Amino acid sequence: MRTTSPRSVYASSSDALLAIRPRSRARATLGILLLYALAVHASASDVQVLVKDQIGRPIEDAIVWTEASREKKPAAIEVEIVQKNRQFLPLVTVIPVGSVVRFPNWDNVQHHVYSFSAAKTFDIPLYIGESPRAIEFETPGIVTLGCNIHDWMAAYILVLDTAAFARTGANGIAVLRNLPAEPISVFGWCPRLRGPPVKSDVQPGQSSAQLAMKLRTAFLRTPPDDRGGGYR
Amino acid sequence: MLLLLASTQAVTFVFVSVAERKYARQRVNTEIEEATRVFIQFVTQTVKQLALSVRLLSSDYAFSSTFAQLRNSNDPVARATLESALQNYRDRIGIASFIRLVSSEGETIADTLPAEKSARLVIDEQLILRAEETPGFQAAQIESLDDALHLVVIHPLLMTEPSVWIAVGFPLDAALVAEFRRLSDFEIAFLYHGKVVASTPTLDHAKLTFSNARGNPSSGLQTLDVKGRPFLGLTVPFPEDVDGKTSIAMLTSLDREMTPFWQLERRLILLNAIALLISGIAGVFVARGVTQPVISLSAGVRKIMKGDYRVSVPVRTRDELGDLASAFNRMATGLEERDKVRDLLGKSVSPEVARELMNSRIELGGEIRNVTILFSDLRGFTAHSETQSPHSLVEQLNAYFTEVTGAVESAGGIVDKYIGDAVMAVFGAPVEVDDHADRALRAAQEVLRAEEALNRRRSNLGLPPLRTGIGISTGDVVAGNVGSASRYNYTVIGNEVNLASRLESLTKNPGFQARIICSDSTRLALKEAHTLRDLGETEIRGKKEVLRIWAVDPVVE
Repeated sequence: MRTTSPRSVYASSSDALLAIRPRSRARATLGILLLYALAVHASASDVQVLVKDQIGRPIEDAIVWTEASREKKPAAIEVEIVQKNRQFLPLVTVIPVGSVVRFPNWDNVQHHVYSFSAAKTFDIPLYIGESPRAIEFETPGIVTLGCNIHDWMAAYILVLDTAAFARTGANGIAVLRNLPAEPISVFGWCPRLRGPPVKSDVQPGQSSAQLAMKLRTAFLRTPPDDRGGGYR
Repeated sequence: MLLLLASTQAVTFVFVSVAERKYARQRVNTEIEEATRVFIQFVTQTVKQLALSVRLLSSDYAFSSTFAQLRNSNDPVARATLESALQNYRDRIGIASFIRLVSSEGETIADTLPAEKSARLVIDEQLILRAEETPGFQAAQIESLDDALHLVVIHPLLMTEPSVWIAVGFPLDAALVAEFRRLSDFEIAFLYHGKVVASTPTLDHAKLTFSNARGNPSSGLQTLDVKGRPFLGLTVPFPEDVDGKTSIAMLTSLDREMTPFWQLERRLILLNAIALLISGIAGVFVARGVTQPVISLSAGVRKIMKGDYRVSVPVRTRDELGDLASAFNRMATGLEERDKVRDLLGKSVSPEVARELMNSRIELGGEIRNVTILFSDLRGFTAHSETQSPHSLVEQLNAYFTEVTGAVESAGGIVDKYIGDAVMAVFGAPVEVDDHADRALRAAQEVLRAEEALNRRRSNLGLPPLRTGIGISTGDVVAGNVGSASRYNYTVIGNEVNLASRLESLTKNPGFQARIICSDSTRLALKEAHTLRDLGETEIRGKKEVLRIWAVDPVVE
C-alpha cells in the first residue's frame, strides 16, 4: 500500500507509473514508450505553458493538456484512489479514456464514494477495505469524487483522451513535450477553477503559452481534526 | 407681588417645559435607536438560521441524484422527479417561500414557483460570484416579487463541485414582522425602495413616506405622519441587503411616548396655579398683617403732624410691626406730655429746667413754695412808644426782653410772664433750689449789665437809652397751674409778688438812688455775701407794718 502526498503527482506521463499496480505497469510502460517512439519520429516541439490566476499569480498543481491527437490514443490503465485518514489520495488523478479506477478504503471508518459528474456518475455504498468494484471511465471529462457521509472529502479524476499532459510546478509552468508541428489547442484545469477548462491556441513553432484561470475560494478538504477542531 | 410670582412661575415653567421636552425627545430617540439595534441583531440571527437550513440541503445525496439523473437523461420523468423532490425539500424547511436550482450563471434549472412567477424573480449572477468568494460558499440577497420581499439564500448543491446552486427564498412578510413585534413595543415596517411592503397592523393602510425630497430612500431619524398622528421613525438598511434597496423602519407613536411628559406638564401647570392661589391668599393675609398697621401708623403720624398728640395705634401683633406700633404710641404719649409740660410752663421753661422737670417728675399742681420773685420794669418806655413805629417798638422790646430772659434763665430762674414792658421772674420754682435769693440777685445784676451793652448799641443807632428798675422779694407763695382747662399757665400767687412789684416802683424814688431794691426777707435768704445798701424802713402800700429795704448796687467791672 503506497501513500503519496494529497496532491497531483503526475508531472509528466512517465510519472503515471508511480501509482499504478505492477500487473498493468508493464502494459502502461509499453504504451507510453510506444507513444514516445512515435513522438520522436514525428516533427515534435515543446511548449512551455504558464498558468496563472485572475490577478497574475502562478498556479501550482494545475493540469495542462492538448486536444486529442490524431495519433493513436493512449492505452487504458488501472489506478487506485485510496481513502486514508478520512481523505482521498491523491487529490488529482489523470487517466486515459477507458481506464479503470479502484477505491480501496484503508481507513478505520467506512466511506460512501460517489460522483454526480456528467463524465461519470457512480457510487459505491458504505464499505471498508478492498474496493468492491472497479469503475471504468469511458468518457473524457472531469469527475469530482465525494464521500456521502464526510462532506470535506473530495478528489478529482481527469479523464483525457490524450497522452500529452503535464502538471505545473511552483512557478506555474508545465512543459508539454513533443507536440506535433501543427496548430493545436492547449487546455488547463485546476480544482479551484471556476467554470470549464480554459483553452489557448498554440501555433507551430510557438514555444510558450499562457493560460489565465479564474479561481474560486478554496474549499477546505482536510478533515476537521487536522484543522484543530471546528468544521470549516 | 402676585404679578412677580406669576411671571417667575411662567419663566420657570417655560424653561422646565423646554428642557423636559428636549429630554423626552432625546429619550425617545435613544430608545428607538437601541430597539433598532436589537432588532437588527435579531434579523441577522434569523437570517443565519435560515441560511443554516439551506446549508443542510447541500450535499444531500438523494436530491443530488435526482438532479444528476435529469442532467444525464433529460426525460420528463426525471424532471418530474426532480421537481417533486424540490417541493419535498421546500416542505421540509417549512418556512421557505420557494426553492430554485440555478446554474453558475443564475439560469433556472428547476423552481417550486409557477413558471410565470419564477420568471419575475431573477437571481443575479453577482450573488453566485459573491458566494464563491465567501468561505462556506454561501450568500444572501433580498429580492422583490409582486410587492413582497424575499430573503434569498444560495448554497452549492454539491460542495465539491459548485456548478449548480440551490436558492431558497424566505418571505419577509407580516408574519415575520409580527414575530419581530414581540420583541418590542415599536411598530415595524419593511421597505423596498422606500415603499412599505410589510408592516405591523397599526401601520396598515397608512401612507408612509420614507423618501426625501428627491424621492430617494432616506435613512435615519425622522418624524412622520401616520394616519394623522405624529410618529418618530428610524430607518436602517436591511442586513444582507447589498444594493441598499431594502430597509427596516422602526416607528413609535410620539403621542404615546410624550404622554407622560404632557401629563407632567399638566401637573406642573396645576401645581403652579395652586401655588399662585395660595400665594394670593397668603399675600392678602400678609397685606392685612403688614399694610393695615402701616396705614394706621401713617394716619397716626398725620394726626401728630397736625398737632393732635392724642393718638393711639392699635397693637395687634407681637412682631416688629407690633413693636413699632407700641413705640409709636409711647412716642405720641411722650409728645403729648411734652406738649402739656410746655403749655404748663408757658413756653418759658429753659431746656435745663424742662429736662429736670421731665426727669424728676415735679408736681405741677398747686403748692406752697418758698421762692424769690423778681420784677423788672422799663422806665418811660411808654413815652417812647408814642413816637416810634409799632414795628420798631416791638423789635426793641423783644431785644430787651431777650436780654432780660437770658439773664433770668442763665441764673436758673423762669420768666413767669411779660406784662407790657415789665417782666416777672420766679426763682426756686418749679425747680427747687436753696439759693434762689442769690440767683435772683445775680440775675438782676446781669440784667443791668446787659442793659448797658444794649444801650451802647442803641446809641449807635441813634436810639435813646433804656432804664430798668428791679424789685426782688422772697417768701412763701402758692405755685401751680392757673387758668382754665384748655388754657393755663404755671405761675405763683401771693403777697410777695405784690411786694416785688412795689419794691420795683420804689426804684423810681430818686432819694434811694437804687436800680435794684430787695426786701429784708431776701437779704435773710441769701447764702452768699452780697453788698447791700441799707435804705431804712419804708411804708409799703398794702402792707400794715413798715419794711426794711435794701439796695443792690451793680457790680462795678
